[in-house]
Amino acid sequence: MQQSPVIVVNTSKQRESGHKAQMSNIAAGKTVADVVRTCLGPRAMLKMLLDPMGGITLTNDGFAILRECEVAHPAAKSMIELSRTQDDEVGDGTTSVIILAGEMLAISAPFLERKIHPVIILRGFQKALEDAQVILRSIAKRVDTNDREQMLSLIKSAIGTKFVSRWNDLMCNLALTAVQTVVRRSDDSEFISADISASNKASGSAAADADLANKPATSGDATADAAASVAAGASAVSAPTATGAAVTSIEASASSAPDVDVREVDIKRFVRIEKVPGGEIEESRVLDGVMINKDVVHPKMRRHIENPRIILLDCPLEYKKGESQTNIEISREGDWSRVLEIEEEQVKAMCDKITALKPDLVITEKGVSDLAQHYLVKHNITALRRMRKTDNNRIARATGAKIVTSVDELKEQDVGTGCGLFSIEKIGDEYFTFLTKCKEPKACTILLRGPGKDTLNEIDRNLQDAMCVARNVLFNPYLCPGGGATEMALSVQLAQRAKSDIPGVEQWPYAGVAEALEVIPRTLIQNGGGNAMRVLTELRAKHANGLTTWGVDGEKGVPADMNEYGVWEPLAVKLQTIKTAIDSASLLLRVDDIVSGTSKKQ
Amino acid sequence: MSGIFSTNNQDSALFIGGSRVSGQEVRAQNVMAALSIANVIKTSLGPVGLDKMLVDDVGDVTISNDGATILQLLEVEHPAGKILVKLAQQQDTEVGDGTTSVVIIAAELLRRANELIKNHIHPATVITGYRLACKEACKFIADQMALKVDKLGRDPLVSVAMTTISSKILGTYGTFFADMAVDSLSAVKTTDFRGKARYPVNAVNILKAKGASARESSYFTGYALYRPFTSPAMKRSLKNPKILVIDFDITKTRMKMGVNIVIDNPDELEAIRKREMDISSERARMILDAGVTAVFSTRGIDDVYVKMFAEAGAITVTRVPKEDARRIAKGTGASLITTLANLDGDESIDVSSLGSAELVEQVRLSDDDIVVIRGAKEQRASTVILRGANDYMLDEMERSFHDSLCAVKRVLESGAVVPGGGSVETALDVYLESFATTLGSREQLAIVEFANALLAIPKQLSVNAAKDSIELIAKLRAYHSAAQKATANSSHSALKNYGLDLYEGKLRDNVKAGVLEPAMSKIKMLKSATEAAINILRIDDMIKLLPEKQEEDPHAHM
Repeated sequence: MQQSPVIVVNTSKQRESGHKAQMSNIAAGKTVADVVRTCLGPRAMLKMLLDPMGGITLTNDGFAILRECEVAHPAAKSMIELSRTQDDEVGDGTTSVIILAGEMLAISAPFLERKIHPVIILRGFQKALEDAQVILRSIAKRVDTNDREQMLSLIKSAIGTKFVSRWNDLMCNLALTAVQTVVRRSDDSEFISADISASNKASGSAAADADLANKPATSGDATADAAASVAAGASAVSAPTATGAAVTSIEASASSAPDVDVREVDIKRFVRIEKVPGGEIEESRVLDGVMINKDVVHPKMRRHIENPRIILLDCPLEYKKGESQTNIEISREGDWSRVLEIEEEQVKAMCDKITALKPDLVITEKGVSDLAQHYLVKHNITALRRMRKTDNNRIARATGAKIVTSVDELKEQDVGTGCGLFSIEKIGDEYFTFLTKCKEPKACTILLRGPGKDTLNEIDRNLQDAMCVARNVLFNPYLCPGGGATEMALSVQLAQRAKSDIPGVEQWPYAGVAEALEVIPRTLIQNGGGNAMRVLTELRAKHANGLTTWGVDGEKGVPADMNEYGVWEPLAVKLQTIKTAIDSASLLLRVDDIVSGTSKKQ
Repeated sequence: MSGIFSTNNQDSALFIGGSRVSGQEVRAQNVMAALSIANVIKTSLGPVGLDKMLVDDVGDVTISNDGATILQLLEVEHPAGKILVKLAQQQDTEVGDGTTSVVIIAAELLRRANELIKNHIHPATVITGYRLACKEACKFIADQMALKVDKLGRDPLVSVAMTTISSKILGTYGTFFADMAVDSLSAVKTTDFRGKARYPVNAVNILKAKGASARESSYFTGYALYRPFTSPAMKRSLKNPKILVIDFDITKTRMKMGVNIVIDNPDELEAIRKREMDISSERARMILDAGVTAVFSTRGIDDVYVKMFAEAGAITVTRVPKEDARRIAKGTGASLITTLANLDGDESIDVSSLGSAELVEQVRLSDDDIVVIRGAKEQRASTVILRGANDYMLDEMERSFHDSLCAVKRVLESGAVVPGGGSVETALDVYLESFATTLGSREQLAIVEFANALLAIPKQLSVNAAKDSIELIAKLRAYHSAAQKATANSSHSALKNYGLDLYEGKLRDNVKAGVLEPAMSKIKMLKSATEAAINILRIDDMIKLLPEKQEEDPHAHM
């Protein structure tokens, strides 16, 4: 029979199958991890990235680096997505998660060589993940979120690795103050997570995980709640060892009351970082209010008002044509001037409605016409125009004013009086509006000063991380020792369990997870210039004796007790890191065929 | 080799540009195409099958274990191959599971048919034989293999869900997702007009949120909508809302394009402007007067009117995707209103078009606000929130979860399961072989081949698990043969439930082990695989027209 080629699939597809595909995924994962490897720890180095437009990014934030990298390999893309997830979820640990995920893949390679089936490897990984979470919770310690000192040192350890470590204290203060400013107990909403955990329990499925994650959060909220704080404190004192039980009781009492006060910390919406190049970094501060890069619309308006009455508008203060297309045919002589009069009358009517409330300051998201400015100046009212919606929301929260969409609806209670001082200052070459000395600033601006734009951008990124840390701890006030101590503890304990508790082939991948976790302390030592083999062995010995707080002094590359060294990290971050790393490795290891649509280039 | 195509051009009796392949050659080509399609996906079969990673032209990555998804993304070009792709997709839409198996069986049927035809058996005979075998097989499954689960306890349902997802990414998390699939589907039970229970899979709403880990996925009852309330000034939750679902804007009215209004008096201009505002505020007022407290709009609502609603204590959600709006309307008993105008030319709201629920609230999911409607009047809905490391994982999780929902639905609605792990296929093989011997005609051969083709499934399962397929299948056939010869009360009859245990490389009673599949999906699978194979077998000539040459662009620089 005559054979002829049969073209079945699109020939422009490239295909890699079986072992080759697995190895190519692993190689890609390792490569991505290697890019950010030197960015971990206090002796981390920065990376300089040049984007296609010629812009420069100078950073050691894992996510920021990888975001700029253009990768072609699908597995590498998947890895980069991880750090995005980590950034969205907890905002910190973006570098660790990549390194750990890369290492998870790397340790799987020998297993695949030995023909252990990926499905078996994954089972071992899953078991290790479950056990790791239990171990993590057992070595975590509770922190008092009202203790400023403790919080500061915590944030310090989180951003210690970053560029701003020179101004550590300052930055930590900024981050903590900002976050504590925007903490809010929401009025009537319930968090979905609490609800879910309830339904999960009802269904009897294994919701222990989600539950545990919620409990600390709920208890944290309860502590914040003035009424419940006594009860929480009492139970914590009476049963310090059985925190779990105490927490459960708090949760029970909380769920009995339908409207629980739940904290909300929305950094994205209510903390704004304004970067103003120039000046000293030491001049950076958190304002007890809001700052906007705007000047008054009319030079005669007041630039300094104490205790201003503020009106926020989302409508233009100028003549607005109708939506429909209208043509006017003027036949009489006076009509034309009448038309113009109408326009003026309208603006006047608008301004009259505003002046009736005797505000000192009017801020609108839209425009203010010259005529309107004239009327406002006459009444000694200062006006700002073209405010961004997000800025306006922040001002509303800081000053207690309500944003009004039409002047017709202005009411006395819409006027904000929460602000203590309105002033306009000139920084560098630009004018900035300050709304400060707010009585209850539930939104704030962090004013960053510094020598250059790139420096400021990097500080901005680090500050974001620091605020995320503060937020995570407020939600979930448990800490794990940093400096690789947590990973070391996990590694040693998992390795022990692997030998005793895990039967069959799954023991290998299970022990592999233990081995992979050592990558964090190892990288820390290497970046700190220490002898990785020696220090790791010392650490292993310490952890085998139950000293779970020993980690690496990242600056010297020698072992250190974290109790003395003072590096602690939020439990939430650690949990998320290991979960993400293992989940993603699971995803990539299951692949045995890569079909890519990129056309073959010759 | 490729010269064949061009020479055929001149030989062609058809005086057209194109190529023609006929007779045995086209059959060989088709079979080859089918086999290579099956080859791509056969390693993803079974609990130890692996996933495929697919990258499209723009570099988007898809990681999947689902046969239909993989084939769809492969961009198959060969016409016979396309038939198989369609087959997998059809299985996906009809049954939702077994997409890989159906392709493997169809390809195997084709391969064996081709051998028969090479031995000078007419395709028509093969086709009749296949048809007969398929009919017998379906009857056998329904009569002998299917286990009625009338008193539907939870366990068989969870087992079915578990069997489906065991081959997928969710499989590593144990019964966590199987439980969730059963729970979320049970929550949306409805009864149709005949009084039969229905479990609409699309009433289970799947939301994906990055972050946390797969185990923190959760489900709750209620319909969730990935949109926030329009204004932060609104209440966060509302009990017993009266729901209005609209498909028009509440914005300032404007005349249609090209309509001019000519006025004489300048003051009228102002009146027009005012009227533009008023028309919509009258509408908003009318909506509020009708007692509506929750407005879901597929379009926008201007800030001015949003404020009216917020002040009246009502909530609004704008830019709701139309699909969601329809489902909300259906679930709450509301009707999707496109205009307020009534037959008299006035505007009004019919109170009967409003829907109701127990609670509408806005909750926070990961970094986003979502709206949840709980306790809708007409149709319960449940929402599953999947969490995972990144988008690729979430997409695959959604596909897997959807498959398990489909499987559970089939069992709940048809009420019969069969043991999985290759047990049905082996039993059929044994049964059909003995059935073939009762026939004295040429079809006998085709039936025997059909029987052997089914063994492709257990064979592939054990190959994927790196087990000795020859030994295992020989043993399995012996078991089933003993079971079928046994009298009703003999101890051997229990052997009919035996199938493969792929982790241990042994045989076991898969009913006891909880490896179950919906009987209906097996029957559907056999039927459609046979139909597809027959479709391709009937072809004995392929004419492919050359694509029309595009006029060369003189400006193109080559």
